[in-house]
Amino acid sequence: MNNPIRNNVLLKVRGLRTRFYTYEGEFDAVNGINLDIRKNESVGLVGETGCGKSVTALSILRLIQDPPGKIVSGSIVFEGEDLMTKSLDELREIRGKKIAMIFQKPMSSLNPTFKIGTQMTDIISLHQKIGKKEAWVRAGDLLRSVKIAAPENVVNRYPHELSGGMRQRVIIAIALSSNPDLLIADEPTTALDATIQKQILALIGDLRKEFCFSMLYISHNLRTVYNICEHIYVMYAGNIVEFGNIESVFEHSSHPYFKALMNSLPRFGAKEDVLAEIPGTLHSPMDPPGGCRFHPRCALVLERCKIETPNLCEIGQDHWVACFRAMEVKGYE
Amino acid sequence: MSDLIQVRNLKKHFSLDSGFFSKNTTKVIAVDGVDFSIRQGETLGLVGESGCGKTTIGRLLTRVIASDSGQVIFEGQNILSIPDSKFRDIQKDIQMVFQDPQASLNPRMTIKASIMEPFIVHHIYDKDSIDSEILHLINIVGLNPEHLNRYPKELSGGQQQRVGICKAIALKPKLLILDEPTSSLDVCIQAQILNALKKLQSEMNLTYLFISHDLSVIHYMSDRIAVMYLGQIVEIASIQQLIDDMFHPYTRALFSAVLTFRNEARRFDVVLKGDVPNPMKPPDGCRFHPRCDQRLKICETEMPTLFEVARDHFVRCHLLA
Amino acid sequence: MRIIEIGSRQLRYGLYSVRKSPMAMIGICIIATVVIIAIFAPYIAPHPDQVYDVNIKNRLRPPSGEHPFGTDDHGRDILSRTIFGSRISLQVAIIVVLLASLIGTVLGLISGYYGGRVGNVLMRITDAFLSFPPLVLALCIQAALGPSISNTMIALSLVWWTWYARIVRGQVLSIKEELYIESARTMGVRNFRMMFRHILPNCVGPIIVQASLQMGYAVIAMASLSFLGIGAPEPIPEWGLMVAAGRGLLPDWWWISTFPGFAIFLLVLGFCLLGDALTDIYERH
Repeated sequence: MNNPIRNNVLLKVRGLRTRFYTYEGEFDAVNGINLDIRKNESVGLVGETGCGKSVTALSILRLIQDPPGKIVSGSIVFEGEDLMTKSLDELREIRGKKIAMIFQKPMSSLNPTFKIGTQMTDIISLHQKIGKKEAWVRAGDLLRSVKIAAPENVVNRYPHELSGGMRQRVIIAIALSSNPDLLIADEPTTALDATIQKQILALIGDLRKEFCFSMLYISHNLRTVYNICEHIYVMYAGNIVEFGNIESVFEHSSHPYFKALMNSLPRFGAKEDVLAEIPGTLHSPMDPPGGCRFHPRCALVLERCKIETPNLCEIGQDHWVACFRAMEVKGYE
Repeated sequence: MSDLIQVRNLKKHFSLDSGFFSKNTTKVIAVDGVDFSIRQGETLGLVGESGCGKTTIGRLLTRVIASDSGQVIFEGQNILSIPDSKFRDIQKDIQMVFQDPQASLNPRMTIKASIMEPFIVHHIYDKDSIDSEILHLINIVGLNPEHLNRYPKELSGGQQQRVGICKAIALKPKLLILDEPTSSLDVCIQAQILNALKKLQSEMNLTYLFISHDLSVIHYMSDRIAVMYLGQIVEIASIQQLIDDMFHPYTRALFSAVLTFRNEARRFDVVLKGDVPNPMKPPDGCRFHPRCDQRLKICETEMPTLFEVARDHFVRCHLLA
Repeated sequence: MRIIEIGSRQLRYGLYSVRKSPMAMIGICIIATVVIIAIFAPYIAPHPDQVYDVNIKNRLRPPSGEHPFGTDDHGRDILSRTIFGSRISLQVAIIVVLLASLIGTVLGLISGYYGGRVGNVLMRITDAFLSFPPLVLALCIQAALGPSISNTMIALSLVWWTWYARIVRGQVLSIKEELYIESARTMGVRNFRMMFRHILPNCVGPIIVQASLQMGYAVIAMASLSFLGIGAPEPIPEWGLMVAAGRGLLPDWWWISTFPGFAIFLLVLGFCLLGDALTDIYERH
């Protein structure tokens, strides 16, 4: 139980609580969550705008700006060591090297005033402590591994001269340059066209097989997550409401929020007249409802849901839900 | 049902000056000879990826940008050639809902002011009845009276888009152009907005031109679909026909790109090679040929024309000629 | 006025930001104090009758209980004169900035919105006025029309409107491309309304920041011109003029230049601090 390597758990987050202080008041964007990522595993974190998934990712790398936000409690155990206890220097050794992150808008991650080659070699020689010449060679290799056919062309270009898909490949190449154990990807394909998105996702799949890294894939796009992840965590208003093996969660979605989300997606096949809607809107973060945070919008609400907060309970093989109604169905108390 | 609007051979290019000293200007062909019609009460879905020209078409129809050639016949007249003063009379009949709900609202105007604007601009403003009119409007789109005194950034994305819809339908238009109205919204808000749009369409007898890159949404909303690639329509048919018989290789690639769930049938699985092409240097012959794995010799030199491959189903491809 | 329609929520946020910055609070306090002094000058000044009247017997008295700031070369109470002088400085600051911002904003709006030939011509005119040294222009105007406060204010406005024109033009050029402008155009909004109802309210931020800073410059400019003898004429209790009057009497009769000088410093400091605070608020917006 104590040796994470033996148990294959790469990242173990326990009780993570990230609080934001604004002039309107303070609120917990991440409300005490637990998350596990095993070696070589692809984990999806889904939820909608405001659920706290991006904040979770930034919290893991301790990139939350203080002010206005702060991690007020919890542990982030990566490869046996709690990142909360690390100094800034120690964190720098981990960020970009052992844990890499890529973001949504490929344009914002690259410096528009430097050529691609310059940016790549700067980062490579910094992290790997190798000379410039070697770094250029490595950059070429990396670009080839992300299926850029003619790296010589790309390294001499500026970011704005490349298409969105190419830029995202470059960013993935940079992220993988020091062979990280964990890649955190925050909506990396949302801004890309559908056919390019499919290319990039296929690429990520191939790279995972080749380089064997774990991935935390954050998205609000359920279709993408279903196709690329093995494990999934569903977040709502700062809490994990359902998680587990991807097939179980999608086939037997039990949390009313997740079920409703699945039902509101337009599907192919029979043409529907009306899409199922989730009534109401997400509450203001300053004013969360009592008990289960989803209860004001839940079609299956019980009296209990208004006062007590449900805990995550195992309702199937590798399938957990935080919902009194779901537990009731399964015969729990 | 008759056609409400007919677009014939619409063309638009943009010139980019290549420098102060250079005489050359590069032409970017955004829309290259597009033809389609929309019947009264129908929804035509326009789908394609970045650079295909679908957003430009919307802006050409509202005359926010000027076209280079072609005709748009709306209620008997070519709205591209009539003078500004005449166009103003029918301007309220063609309205648009925009992609970025927050950016489409003036940050310094309250919601009430934004919704009142169409009335003021077209001199249909009646001091006594305007308040009840506005209350009625926000009711249909699902907003509350307390939203009226707020500013756009105080509303959520879904609410902002409802305001956008409100502004567009305020003067009871005939044609509503929806430019990716739910692309930036979350899934459950998207469902609300799409349902609201469908309801509005039947209640107000609206005709929609629905532009999107999301096939599942287009499938849900449209009666007919037009697939665009690099400024041209490559396939156009009714929804059912398209799902049954997808002919153009690009259409198949697009549909393949929609990641499916287990219980959704998938007929093709095409991963396109190469990048979205550069609109400044379109390929010779068929514009799609560099990425097409079924290309013939003729595709490299000759541009295929749009022809009827089945009743009301048009394709632009040599493979079917 | 619609343009300055500030929702109460925006006002609250503004006040909150200001409260958080001690510098801003100091700036506001200084200005508020000077404004109150200016309004109630006749009641606050210990010797309101001595602002203009000469009293040779009372000349060059050092600061004392009766005359906290001493008396000047003509026997007038300097404290009272300084207090009344605040009216002049504030008046100049407000009127110059009002005129300059009005002219500059309108021209900047038109130039930015229409662009093309109209825009270019207006910009060249702006450049021409910008190149004019304000002091030289003031000199010319005074030479032609005689020294007075109004002439000085005209001179300053005639050169300073260019700052606003440039700022507003830059703003308009980028706002023109915004989606909400396209939305308004689709709705049928025409040029005049587009400029003043849709675009202008979004330019207000930088205009206000520039205006608050410029008020400080106006006070200094007025004082400088009066110091050089081409601003306010005697016997108006303008601060710059009062500093000039004491110039030849330093250092023995130091109080004649020092107190009005300090008043200038304080008021300008207040405007600068306020300008900084407003810059911060609008940056964060």
